[in-house]
Amino acid sequence: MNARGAGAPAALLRWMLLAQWHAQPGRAAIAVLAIAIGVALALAITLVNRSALGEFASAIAQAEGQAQAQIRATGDSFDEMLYARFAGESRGVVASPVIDARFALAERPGTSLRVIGIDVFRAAQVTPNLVPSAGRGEAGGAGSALFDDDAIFLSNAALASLALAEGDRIELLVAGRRVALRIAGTVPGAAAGQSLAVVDIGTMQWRLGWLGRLTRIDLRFDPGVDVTRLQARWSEAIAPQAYWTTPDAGVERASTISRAYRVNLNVLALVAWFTGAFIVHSTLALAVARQHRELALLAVLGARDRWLARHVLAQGLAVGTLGAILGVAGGIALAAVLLARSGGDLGGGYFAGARPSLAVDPLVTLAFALAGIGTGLAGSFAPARALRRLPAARSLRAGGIEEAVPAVDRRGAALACFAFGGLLLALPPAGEIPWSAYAAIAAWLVGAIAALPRIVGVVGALGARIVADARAIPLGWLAVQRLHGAPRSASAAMSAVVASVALAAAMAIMVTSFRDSVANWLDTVLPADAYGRVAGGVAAGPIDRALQRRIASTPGVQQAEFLRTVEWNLDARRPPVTVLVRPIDARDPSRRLPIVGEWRTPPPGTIAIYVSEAMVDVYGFAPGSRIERALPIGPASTTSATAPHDAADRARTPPLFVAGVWRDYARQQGSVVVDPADWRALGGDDTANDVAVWFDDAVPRDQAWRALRAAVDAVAGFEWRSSAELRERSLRIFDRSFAVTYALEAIAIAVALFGVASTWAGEGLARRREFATLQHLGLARRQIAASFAIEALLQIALAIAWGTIVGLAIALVLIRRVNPQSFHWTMQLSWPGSLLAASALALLALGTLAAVLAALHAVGDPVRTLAEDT
Amino acid sequence: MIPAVELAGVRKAFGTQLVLHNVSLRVGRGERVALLGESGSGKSTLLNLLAGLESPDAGTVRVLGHEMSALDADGRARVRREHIGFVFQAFHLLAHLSAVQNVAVPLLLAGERADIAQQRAAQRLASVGLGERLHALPRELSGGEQQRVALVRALVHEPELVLADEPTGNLDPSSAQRALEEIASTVDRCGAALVLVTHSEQAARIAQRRVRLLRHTLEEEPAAAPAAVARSTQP
Repeated sequence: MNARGAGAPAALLRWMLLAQWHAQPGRAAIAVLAIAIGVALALAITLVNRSALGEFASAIAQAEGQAQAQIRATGDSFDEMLYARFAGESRGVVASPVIDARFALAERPGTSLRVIGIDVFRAAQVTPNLVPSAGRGEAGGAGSALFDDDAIFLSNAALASLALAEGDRIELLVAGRRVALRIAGTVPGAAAGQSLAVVDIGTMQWRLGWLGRLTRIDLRFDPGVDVTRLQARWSEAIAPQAYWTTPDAGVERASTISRAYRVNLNVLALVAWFTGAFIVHSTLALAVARQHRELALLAVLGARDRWLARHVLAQGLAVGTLGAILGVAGGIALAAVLLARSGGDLGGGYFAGARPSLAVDPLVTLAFALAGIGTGLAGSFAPARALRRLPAARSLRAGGIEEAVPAVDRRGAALACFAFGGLLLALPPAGEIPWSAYAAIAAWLVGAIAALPRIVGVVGALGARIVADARAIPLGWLAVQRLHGAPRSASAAMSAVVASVALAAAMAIMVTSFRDSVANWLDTVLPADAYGRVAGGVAAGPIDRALQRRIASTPGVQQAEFLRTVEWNLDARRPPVTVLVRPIDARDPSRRLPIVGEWRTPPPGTIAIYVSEAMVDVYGFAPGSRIERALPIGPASTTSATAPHDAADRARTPPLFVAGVWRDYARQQGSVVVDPADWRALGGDDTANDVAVWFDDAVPRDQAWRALRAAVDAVAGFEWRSSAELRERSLRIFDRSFAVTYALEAIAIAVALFGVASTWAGEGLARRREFATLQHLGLARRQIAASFAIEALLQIALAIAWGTIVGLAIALVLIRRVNPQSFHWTMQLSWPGSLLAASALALLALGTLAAVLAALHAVGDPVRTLAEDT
Repeated sequence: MIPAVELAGVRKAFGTQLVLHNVSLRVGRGERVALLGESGSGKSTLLNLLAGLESPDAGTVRVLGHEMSALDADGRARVRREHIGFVFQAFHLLAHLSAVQNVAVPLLLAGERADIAQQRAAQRLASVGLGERLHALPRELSGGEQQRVALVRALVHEPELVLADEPTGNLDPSSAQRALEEIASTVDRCGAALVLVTHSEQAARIAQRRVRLLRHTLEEEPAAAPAAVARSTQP
């Protein structure tokens, strides 16, 4: 041989690949599609979340960015005297007082507007992006509209979303009153897409119910100021009403609250990807097995093992590359559609109202593309390795396909995966993300597939013994013998079904368990007949004592209970927790709260609190522990003699005692329940945000409703809902937040259905010679199809059974580890029997149908078929 | 000159089943040897040993001076690729490649450029009367045509040793005759040695020597003048 072409084997590789794909394009298409779907979903979800979070963080930075530090309220607000002290006693510091609150809009149910009250002169030096601009029609100069007490300035995004313009009037609901304001201009410095309004701080205090209160002070320091010393000096002085922080903490807070949800969503998207990866492996393994005689021939003719392996890897690389290209294009398109239709909110509610633009990060996109290619390569790795064991000479003869199918069935491989997964479960989460639990799920899935050949072998042997002893139907006997004699081929065909059934079943069990737990939870936390709330936006609760008395004495109302909610900032880098002031039955708190575990009697001299599960995990508020922190008492404490104002007061305040833990699905960031008597004893106010009403059964229900509505008729924006309505609305919100999960579940099942149909269609073609032999032996075409269908039924049923068992194990990991570690709540296990049964039936039906059609198509002229050298 | 094949004291068993015991054989360059024996006597096993597809339990196997058992898998593949041609009973054409592509495969494996490989393959196919069937797939060829393609593929890279395993087993007598003529003339033209496994007397006549596998050992049969294949008309 004289000439040496550098790409000579490459030409042969190209011929064989193209010929293979030309002969069976469907199989290649399924593998490409499986990768494309996985890449597209994962990339779309990542891009949407990154775009939303990026814009969210950018908006925070733009509004607060030039402030170098902030003094923020521990609760809802703090006394403005604190500002006076700070501004008066600090040198080289520009302090800008701010009130930041959200108000409901009159005549626009469900709509609210963020309103920021600023001192224009101070804000111009610290946060100039918040400084409004008066409209052209407004007078300028000292009498500028900026200081008019009815002037409000809206950002362009707010004007657009509310369909308003400069000069229009807007009515805010303030503690049951309507306050009309005039849109006097815009906020040109607001970030694009950021919907907010700015008013003079005087207007905010006098007209919008924030008299004497502030929510934060933005600070900027002159060069040379010792900020560390300043912080050290003031941190103690401003506690417990306020705390010192930086704007970065605000960005991190926004990221933290949604991190677990975003990661969870990404992991769910990876479910579809994982399923696709198993389909690629299954497709390539069977494809290589069917090519085994050709590959054996090449080995006999002198092809190196490396070249043969390269041929198989090239198939995986081609599938992966095409799938990655399609997936990236599809993912970007899907992300654009999702952002256009639902903004940045994928159901979690963290970015509701946001309308971010799509930000495509090239590195992230490249990473997903490479991962798609890697999936194709990974799917071909085991088949390429299997070729090394292929005895070339024997493979040229009949049979040998079983040895060509890769099997990771070395003794202990599956057990090792299961054991490794178990060990991973013992590891704690990192950054509140349960990475080790996710890794354990992946290990168990791999173990489940690795165990398949052995399971199939055992079931096949058992089946063979049964049909041998019984008067078996010949067609069934054929099917069982196939399972017994070729467990590896059967396993390769079943692996994708096992993976997708396991993942879909796990998600279905987890979501059903969660939903049932939420429904049961609602039964406990919504015991009353009706619930009322008025849009607040003010520092104090909008339902004052007079209104409380009026509601309680309404004819038809047997009992009324009032609830106060206050924010409590325990950590600058975390969202505030919620303090719920509501009656608790100390003798049996589980009657009113869904208590988890045992509760304790508080020792004398302590204040009993009942904390949500998140408080235990995140803040260490363990049951039975004493907490030396002061609750964020409300605005009434400015005149209360008992409210702690300084360190000496704090030292005298009784410590908090964690008397019990309860399950709270409404407040992921954490909540603390305290009895109203204790709250008032600490100096808290007696206003309320919500009211729960029990009707008198003796009074006709509609009459009681009418009386209730009449009692609050003068209060603007007061809303009443029945507990049934609230329950239904809550479950609707739940379903919306899990819409993406439901969609991914459906996609996993759809991918499984595709995989099943494709596998059995390919199997039919691959066994044409076997069918021809059976015809020679006397079986009719329909009998061959029936035998093939029984075989498909047995394998798919076994795959569904094993997949469901694995899915249950994975669901337990999701319920007992992932959810508690991600979202800090627990739930009970529920079994979605009808959903699982319906999915199983669909898989069985479609797989069997595909097998029947494949067999009927493949059974042709027996003489011609056996005469072909294939 | 180094012989084409040298087996010395070869032993081969599969589990407890002994197939070959103390087998020795020497085939010179350009010599044609027929390996006879009943079905299951180990003829194919011996052929696989020569091709390096199996390893002996004892003894040595040398092909064109290369001791096969001392080579690794890559080394044995290189010997097959560069020095050996195979003719099979079942043809074993690659189902999804055309006739000319099938013939080009050994040339490509040996490092030839694709266009040159196909050109040479086309020429060789034309020389056996398949010039009009270059792009036909195997399933579109008759049995005789498939055998000719397989034969051309075996010899296209001018190997020094041809191993033929029942090359006419699937052919009718006249097609078998033509195939045997082609094999004989081509190996003579190339100066290649031929080891022909067969149980057909017709096929064995093209050999200069006959050896028979009997009770796991090899016995030389009395030398007979190889039939002038072109004159032979009897099956």
